[in-house]
Amino acid sequence: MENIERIGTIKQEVLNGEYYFKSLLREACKFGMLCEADLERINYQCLDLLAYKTGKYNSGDSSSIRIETAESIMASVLYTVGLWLKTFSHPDFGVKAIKEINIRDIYQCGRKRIDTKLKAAKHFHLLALRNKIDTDNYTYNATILDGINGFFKLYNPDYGAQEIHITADYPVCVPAHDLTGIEFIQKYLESFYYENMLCSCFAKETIRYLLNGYNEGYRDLVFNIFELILTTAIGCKICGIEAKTLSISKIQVEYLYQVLSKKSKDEVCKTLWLAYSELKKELSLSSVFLDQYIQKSLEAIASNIYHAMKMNTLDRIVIVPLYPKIKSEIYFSLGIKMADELFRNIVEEITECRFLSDKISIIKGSIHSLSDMEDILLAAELNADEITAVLSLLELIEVAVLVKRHPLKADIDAIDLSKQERVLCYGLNNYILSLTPDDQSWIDNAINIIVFDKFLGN
Amino acid sequence: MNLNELVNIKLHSMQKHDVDKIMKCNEITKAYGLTLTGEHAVELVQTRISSLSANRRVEFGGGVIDKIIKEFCNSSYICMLNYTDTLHELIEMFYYYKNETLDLISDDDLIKYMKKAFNGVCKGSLELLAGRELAKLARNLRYGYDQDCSDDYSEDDLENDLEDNRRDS
Repeated sequence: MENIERIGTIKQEVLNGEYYFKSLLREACKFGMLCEADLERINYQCLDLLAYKTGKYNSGDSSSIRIETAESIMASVLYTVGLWLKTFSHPDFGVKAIKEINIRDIYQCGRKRIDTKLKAAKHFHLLALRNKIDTDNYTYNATILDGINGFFKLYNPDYGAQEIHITADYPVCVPAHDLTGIEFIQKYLESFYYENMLCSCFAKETIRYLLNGYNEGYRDLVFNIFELILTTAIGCKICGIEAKTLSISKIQVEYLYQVLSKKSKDEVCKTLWLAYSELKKELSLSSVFLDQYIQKSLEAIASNIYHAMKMNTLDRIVIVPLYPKIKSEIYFSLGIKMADELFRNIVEEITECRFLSDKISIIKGSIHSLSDMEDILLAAELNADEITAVLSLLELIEVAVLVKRHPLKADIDAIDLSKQERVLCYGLNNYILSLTPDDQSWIDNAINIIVFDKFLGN
Repeated sequence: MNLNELVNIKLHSMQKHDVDKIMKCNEITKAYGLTLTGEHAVELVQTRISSLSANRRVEFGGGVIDKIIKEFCNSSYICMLNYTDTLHELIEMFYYYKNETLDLISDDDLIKYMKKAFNGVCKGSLELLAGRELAKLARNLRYGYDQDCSDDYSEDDLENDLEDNRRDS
């Protein structure tokens, strides 16, 4: 006896949420609740209201208006009227109001309701921004930040109350079908807020690993993050593991498949409900509204899981997180450069030397950091053979650092390099080719993991 | 029933009121030797309805026919012989250029511009008014230029510019 509904003539389900007023009139005529005279009166009242709105739209400057603009204003008027008629507990009361109250008065009530809804939507937007998921998914961020702000900027409740203006690309788990204008945005933001509320129970890194497991290119994909998290969390609970870390494994997904594959759709639903009550306890979810939202989402998730079982694609909706591989890094500092005056003297001394052995002995005695060595290789006018000889003085890691800083480029790319830089690149390449294959592969690997120490300005 | 049909029904229902309004203008135009019969007034209202429909516009209230009559009645290029024909053309022209000017000009300003051009550079030619002056106005408004801006560069203009340059140097 909990849901006692008044028995009325018009069924709420047959009415269109987007064009509520029109559909209510159609149904009222169908059941003989409105006669021809009533319809004519309503038409004229609507037209009078349109004339009044058009006059205001033109600010009295123009007596005529384009049909497209008039149609848009009319749609806005009908939407606003419908918005107020929706407040009645039963459509029959709405029809009674249409018969007894002037359309202009109903419009005024609807207009006030739009203002209230606009305030509510702005409040939900604020809340959704406060508990926003820290993710780099482009659609999610673009919608909640730019898209919704764009809507509030463009929305005109007087002449375009039925417009949405934005595409609201980020799909929420329980979409607001059958709604438009401010009603749609309010519902959308409400969903966004509840979804964020659940997602905020999980650590930022946990969500990132899960999304990586879904697809490594998740940043550019359009999908619902909440649904993915909720499905995986429920999967964790069915497997009897903690949901907070969402760390379900492939074996556990296989186990899930075995548990659910023999069940009917209703049984799958029951299992999900039980798992959800476990999840609620673990995450200490206390919000009634969030609970209601999740319950609505579970219907869709149950259906998804049931179909995934049939198609053998459960691993696409219960996601195994992908944890980043531990990558080793070599931090390298090139050292401190010597004074300019001293460096100039050494370069002068080297260039005056006739024999390579003399040059090498000067370098050995005077150069104590790799940054000076690099400068000498570039400034001392050494030829390729001399460079190879100097490089043989260095450790493999030092050679790898120089290669990372002066990689051998194709001729077309090397066009911007100075002559000495090009000689150094070739010299480095020749030297590496002269090494053993083991040393060559060691240098190759080292190049990829060398990180220059930023604090020393290298 | 769509909005256009609904508005047309309303326009037809208000026809008598509009005709009365037009007939009332005779009190002013009589001084210039211009009068309209009831039949003429009905025809003018019909032209207004068909022009609105042809230009995909709807109109609420009295419309602009009386405004056009009051503005043009003192023109020296209008006499009883061409009075009604001119009014029909002006009404058609008005609604066409409301669209062409993207509604950027008010009714009163457009009528005033039409009158000024008709009595001035067009010297009573409706072809010049529609084909040149109003087209120029529409272009200027669309591109955000001054209403009277012209791209006609005459030889006199060229000479004046050269003279200015010489003085500057």
